[in-house]
Amino acid sequence: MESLIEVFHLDIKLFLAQVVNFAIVFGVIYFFALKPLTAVMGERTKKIEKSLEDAKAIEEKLAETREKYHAEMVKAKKEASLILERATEAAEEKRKEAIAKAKEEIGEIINKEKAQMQMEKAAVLKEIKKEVADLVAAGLEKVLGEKVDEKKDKEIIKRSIIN
Amino acid sequence: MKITARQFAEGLYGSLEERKQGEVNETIKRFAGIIVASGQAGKAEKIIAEFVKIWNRKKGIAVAEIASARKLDRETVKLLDGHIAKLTGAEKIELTEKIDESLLGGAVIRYGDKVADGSLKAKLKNLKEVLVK
Repeated sequence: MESLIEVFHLDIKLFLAQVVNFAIVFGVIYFFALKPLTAVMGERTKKIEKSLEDAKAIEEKLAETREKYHAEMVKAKKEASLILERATEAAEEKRKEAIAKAKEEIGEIINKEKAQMQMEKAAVLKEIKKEVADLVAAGLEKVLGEKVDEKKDKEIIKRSIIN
Repeated sequence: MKITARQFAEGLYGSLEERKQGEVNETIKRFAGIIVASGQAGKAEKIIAEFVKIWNRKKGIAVAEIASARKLDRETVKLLDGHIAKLTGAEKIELTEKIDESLLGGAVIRYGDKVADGSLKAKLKNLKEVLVK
């Protein structure tokens, strides 16, 4: 030991003083710089870890939400498809009903028109018959007025009595 | 109770039925007095009409009217008289004749509330109806 001191010309007192110096400087640096820095770094690390955990949780949540969204979408699509199918069926039903109703109404109109035409035809025919009958009767009346004499009149009366 | 014209007429006929010729006027006078006294003088015409109906029915008389387009000869009238007698079942017919040129020919017989229309006018009317049907 003493040879080492001699070889390196070490002054123990100076060395001790320097050690104390170093310790003081180290202590000052440790307490005022390294320790707060370590604390800050630790805190920062915790924050980053937390952020990473949060990010992971968010990601998981997002994935879960995505799955839910897809599931909901599939369900909604199915429901929409069902609703659309029902609406189509209802529309088809209504269309058929409307067609049937329209056909019925058209049938009624046609029947009414036919009946009206029949009535008009019958009225015209009756009018024609009446005209013809009037003409025939007028002609006969004229002829009878001229042709029926006392003798024929007597025969007519006799015949009506027999009948 | 109110007495109807028919009941008065039946009463009058009943009271006259058994009377002799000389008593008829007196009976009628008394009957007229009863009608007036009972305040039924307004019904006199109806009573007379009902009496005539009853009289004719009881005596077998039928009142008839013949309407024709021209005056009928005696033979035709007699024929119609017999025909009406058959229709009514009466023994005697009181016939009145009427001329209606619009009948054209044939005759219309009215007796009681019935009409037998054998005129050409009626036949023409029937023909018209058949043609119109």
